[in-house]
Amino acid sequence: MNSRLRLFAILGLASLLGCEPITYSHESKIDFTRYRSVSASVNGGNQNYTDYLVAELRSVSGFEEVSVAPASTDVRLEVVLDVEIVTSVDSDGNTQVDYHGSAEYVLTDRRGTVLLTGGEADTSFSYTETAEDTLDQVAEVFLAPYRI
Amino acid sequence: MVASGTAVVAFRTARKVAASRFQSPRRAAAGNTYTLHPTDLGGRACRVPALFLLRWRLPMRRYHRPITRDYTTVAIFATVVFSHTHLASAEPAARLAEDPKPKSTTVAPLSPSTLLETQGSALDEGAHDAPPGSNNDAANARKPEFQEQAPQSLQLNLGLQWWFVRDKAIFGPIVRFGGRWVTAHFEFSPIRLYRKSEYIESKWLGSISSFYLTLSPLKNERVEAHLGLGCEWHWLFGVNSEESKGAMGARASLHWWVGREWAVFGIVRTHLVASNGLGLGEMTSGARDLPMMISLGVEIGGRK
Repeated sequence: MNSRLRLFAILGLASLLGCEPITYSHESKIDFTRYRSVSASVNGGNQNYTDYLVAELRSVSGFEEVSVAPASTDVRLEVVLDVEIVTSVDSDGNTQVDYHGSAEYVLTDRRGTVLLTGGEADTSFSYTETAEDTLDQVAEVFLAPYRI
Repeated sequence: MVASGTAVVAFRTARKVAASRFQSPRRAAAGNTYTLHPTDLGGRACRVPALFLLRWRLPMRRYHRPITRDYTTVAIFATVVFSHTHLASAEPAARLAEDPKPKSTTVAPLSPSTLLETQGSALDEGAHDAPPGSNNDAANARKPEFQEQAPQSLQLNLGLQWWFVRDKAIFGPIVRFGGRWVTAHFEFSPIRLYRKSEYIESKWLGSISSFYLTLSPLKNERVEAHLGLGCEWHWLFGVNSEESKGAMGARASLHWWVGREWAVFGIVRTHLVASNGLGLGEMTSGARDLPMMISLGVEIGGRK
């Protein structure tokens, strides 16, 4: 058994010394040290979805301050959200309803300069779920940078 | 360097296994009953690469965590102790082959019905279960123990693996299923940080789920080697529930059956294609190291 013990000890020691790193990182598209605050609006001020997006941005984004009022923030995020209801009938005659959400966003600074534009899409089984999932995708765009 | 050391160990092990020819009756009849023994792996085959690694790695790793604080030490210690105390059932075939005396046992007389059942099972399972008094008793006693099991066409193995990764503890179950040539491997390994990060609140960073499909160029009752390709999904729920990275990778693994149903294994893997932000062999400082990862583990289940 001594030989087996020695084998495990050598394999373990060799593996310990062979520890390699693995690093997860994310580089943000926005310089959050320069643009620290943002105001968000969905569909020109839809209260429910705007509140939801603000909450998501506070949770995951790199902005220090997220608000609805555009006056005092460094940048302004405008989102146009659209949820399309698609009804289809399969070969057995069953009707299936799918919800396809899409969101176009524009991020501008105080002078109106466009800093970032883009679009996100998602699909779900209810109208509200689809809208929220699509807004989640928009908030993900502004994910805080990390390096772990 | 680590890859070359591992390759040397793997090559020498494979060469010894090939030379041993466990089930070669020709060699056994000729008296050449050399069999792979744990001492072989713990001897020169492993000592040279280990010393080589020691000389190369230690001066380069001053920033490395002290070994006494590393959780991996606990895992290795537990593995050694467990194997030392519980895996003693596996006797090398050579020791059995060296015993020229057949082992005789006293068997109580059997009823005719029991005898018929015994004969039936003997036909099904092999000659080693032949009824008492058979002339095959002496020959069966000389057979190595691993030949007493009927070969299995499919294997199902469950195991636990520990990734030897810096500053993180990655460990979890592994399942593999397959036949002689092709095997599917499923892995799930949660990731925990040793130190709290400034970026996330919890020490649980996420998890790695992976699937690999491998070919087995070497597979016998003692050693298995697997080479293959697969994909990994790194879900970083500690950062955000929607945050994840993906990779396609290649891996090589060596499994060594130290007991009848227990094996230890080592896996070396690398990423061929990976998402942005998934840096295998990359330190948080941005410095690059070898883009590979080693993991060791213990598994149970059927062997070939």
